[in-house]
Amino acid sequence: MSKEQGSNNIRNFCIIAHIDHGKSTLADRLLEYTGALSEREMVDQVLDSMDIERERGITIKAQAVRLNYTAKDGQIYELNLIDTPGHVDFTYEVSRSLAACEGALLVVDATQGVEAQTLANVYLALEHDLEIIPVINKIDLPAAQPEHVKLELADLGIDPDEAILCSAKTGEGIPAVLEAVVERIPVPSGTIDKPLKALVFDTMYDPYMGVVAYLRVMEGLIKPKMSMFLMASKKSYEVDTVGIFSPTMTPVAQLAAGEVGYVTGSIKDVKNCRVGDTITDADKPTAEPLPGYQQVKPMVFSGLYPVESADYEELRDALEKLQLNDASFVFEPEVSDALGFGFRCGFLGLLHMDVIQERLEREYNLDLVMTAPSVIYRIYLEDGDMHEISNPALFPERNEIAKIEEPYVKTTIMLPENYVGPIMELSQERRGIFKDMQYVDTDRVKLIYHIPLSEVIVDFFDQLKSRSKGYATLDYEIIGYQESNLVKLDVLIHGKPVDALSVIVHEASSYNKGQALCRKLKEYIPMQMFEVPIQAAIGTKVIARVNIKARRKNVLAKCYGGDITRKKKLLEKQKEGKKRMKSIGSVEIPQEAFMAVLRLDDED
Amino acid sequence: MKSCGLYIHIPFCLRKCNYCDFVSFTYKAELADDFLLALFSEIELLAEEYDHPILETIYLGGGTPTCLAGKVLVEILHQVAQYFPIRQGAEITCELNPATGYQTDLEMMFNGGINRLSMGVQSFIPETLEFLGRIHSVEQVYETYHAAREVGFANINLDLIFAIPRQSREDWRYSLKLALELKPEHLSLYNLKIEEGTPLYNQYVAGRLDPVDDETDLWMYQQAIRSLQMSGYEHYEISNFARPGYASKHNLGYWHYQPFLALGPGAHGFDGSKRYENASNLGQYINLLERGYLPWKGILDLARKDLLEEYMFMGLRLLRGIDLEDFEYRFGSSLMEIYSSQVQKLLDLGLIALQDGRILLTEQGLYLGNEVFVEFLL
Repeated sequence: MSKEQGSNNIRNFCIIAHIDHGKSTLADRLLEYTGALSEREMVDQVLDSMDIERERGITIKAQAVRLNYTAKDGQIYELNLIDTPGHVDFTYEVSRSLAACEGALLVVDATQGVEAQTLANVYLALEHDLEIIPVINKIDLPAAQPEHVKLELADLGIDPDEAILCSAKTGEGIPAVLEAVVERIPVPSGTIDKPLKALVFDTMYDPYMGVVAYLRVMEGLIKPKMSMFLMASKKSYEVDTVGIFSPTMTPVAQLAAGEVGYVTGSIKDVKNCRVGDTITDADKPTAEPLPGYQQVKPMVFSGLYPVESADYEELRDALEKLQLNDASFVFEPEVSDALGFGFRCGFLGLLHMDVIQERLEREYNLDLVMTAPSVIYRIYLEDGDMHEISNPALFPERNEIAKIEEPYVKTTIMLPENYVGPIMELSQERRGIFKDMQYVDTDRVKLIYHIPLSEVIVDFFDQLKSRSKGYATLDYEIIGYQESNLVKLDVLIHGKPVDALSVIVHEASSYNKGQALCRKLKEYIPMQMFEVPIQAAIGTKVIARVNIKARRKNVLAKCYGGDITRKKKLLEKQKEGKKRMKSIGSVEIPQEAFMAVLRLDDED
Repeated sequence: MKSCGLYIHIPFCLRKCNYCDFVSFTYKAELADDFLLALFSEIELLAEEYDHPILETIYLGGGTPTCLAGKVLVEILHQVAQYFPIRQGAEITCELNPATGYQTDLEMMFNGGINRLSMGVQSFIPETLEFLGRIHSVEQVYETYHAAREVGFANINLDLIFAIPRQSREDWRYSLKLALELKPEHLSLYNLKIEEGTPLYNQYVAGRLDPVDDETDLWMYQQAIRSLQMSGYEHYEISNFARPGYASKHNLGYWHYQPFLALGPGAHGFDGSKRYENASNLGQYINLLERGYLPWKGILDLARKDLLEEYMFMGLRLLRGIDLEDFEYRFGSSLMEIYSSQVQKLLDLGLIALQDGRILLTEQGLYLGNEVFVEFLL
């Protein structure tokens, strides 16, 4: 790309879609078509680079890649494709990626139509004044109904005639998509002669280069050796390299207004270079940072403990390494009477939590006990003090508490009309407050509820899917705190309170929850050599009790010469099983038991 | 190794039982001939390998050794006697399926030196025998047992199985009673374990079998211990009972962790420091021997850790437990030096006891033996 072409030949766009609507496959096809990768280099879904992302078919980190495209008009265009995270946990990251673009491909599955996240993404894109190019994907499937999807788009205020029909799988329609990007997406507006103003829309950590900031230059230019200033974190660094993703990291001499790429500057701490920050020239700073910066706050909290207490330091190292790459993940040391030394960890949402847990177990080979997820409660004491507490074990005594507030979310659920009954029932069970119900077309409904976040993070999504046979889709956003009548439910095992099993529940459902929790724990905890009572209590009042019967007999009947090897293997297996359990007093409790509260609805 | 036990695995059955996962093949005369040739050369090779140790006991097991004619079994013993010195008065056991014990064969066996029989009776209830896939009837149990007595066998063991799905407590008491009426010298009582890869396991996985609950299993076991003790049997090992003087010498060798050699497909031998495993594939077994090799598929050199672990969990199966002096003599350190925390824990749980210089299972420990054994894995 020669410099003379300037920003007239640059197009910055992203792809927004509901999970599974084919965003990554479309991105792959665009890369392939423009020759960013030869077919031989193509591994399906190049942009989803983490194993976990690929397995789950979701994008967790934003990615940016430069495509050189020769359009029908004969000119070469620099197309910067920014792949956005595809999950509600990462709405803020999505909004920053959108802010780096002038346009968006809105991918809608021709067989599924508009979904809750499609809606949420369209609203986000409109908020950022993006030019939306609707793309109806998967038209190769027999169940495709592109005409129906067009009607749905019209309902959203999008001109259905502008929709491009394509199949990212077969490649049909891909040239039309690229042409539309060139024709319809506006040229970036900034100029090169103003002071540098660049948006950080994602970061990653490289052990050699430090933080790699993904950035979109809005005004001015950035090049090596200049001194850059991060306006929110108020830190200065010398620029080491600037470059583009093509799709591998490729250094360039400079990045100018309108362009997308990366910068490194030996930034050791990801906290000093957060998503949404504005990079400017330290010697000639811009007057105002770009709008929209927020320090994202974790919403979901959980205790993480090593099964073997000797692994504590190893766990700390692993958490520190993960945090290098992920400024929205926080942790601090915590001590549990039952589990010993561990960490209280904060996540953006449940998916984020799952991903971190899986990476710890897979990449760092750690056996972990994770306590049930919780939210931050605001506890107002009788003496007027307010405490924000996420660990149920740390709740003050009931008589000291004046009132408790908990975070609420607004949930937007899209579903076929015939599942409205069961899903409304689910939302009511979860203390949802009905807000609105609209027909998006003749047989599909949009339901809006306000639901306590604590109810949404516990198995809500799975229940939503199972009660709607997989058809309902969910989007949610935090709307603030409201007072609730909450109590702490404690669990006693073999007469001893186990702090790590305490949960906060609404008073009205505390009795049922206590019963269900005891029953669930009975399923998870194997028979011990003595009878083990499990009790649920509020304060000093026991509200539920079950007994795990004692193991009465466990002995190999036969053991002769030839059996020794086999019998020993059996015993070794038994020993391995014990190792994965956490001993609490004399009772051995498997890891899953600590998440039992997530599974209370399974038995119905 | 100056002396040891000898186990000979005869890998044939007329039909495999529904619960059995031992190495066994359907009996065919030609196959048996090939096997015998191979076994004969294995006897020779193994005797040379170990420099002809004295055999304290011999045990013909299976499979169903009595698939082979009594004459053939005796030929095997002759071949053994040709290459190994055999201790005067050694216990020589043969397993016997009640459906295969003909008087003439039994006579042949008795005259050929076999002095102990172990009969797989399993149950005295026809439905239970059918459920287990046994090929014999209850009548055949009586016929064969009496025939064996008539021939002169004065040391007979009966195997019985309990904790079988669909077996009632009453069924078990009934089988025990009839077994005791026969006044065998020895009884082995096994609780059924549903092993992977058996027809019973497949039924269980398919949800067509309710496994027996802990309580019933325990009840049956306790019931058996009580009635056998009242009838004058000594409970000397978790699953084994004998009239005074009739404990199985061959099996005591295993539990005392003495060396034993083994012959036949899938058999394992232990020479005091390593364990070898024979090829369990019959073709491979025969092939190796035809080419003049011992049919060893694997050799496991036992580290001190292995020896300790195995010594403990074999020895603790005996109700007398383990002699602390013997432990120290073998391993050069005391039990408490090596296992102090484990012993303390198990003492606290009431699963073991220290008595008269021995460590042994308590009554609770007997029922929960695996919980004890697992602690001694290092």
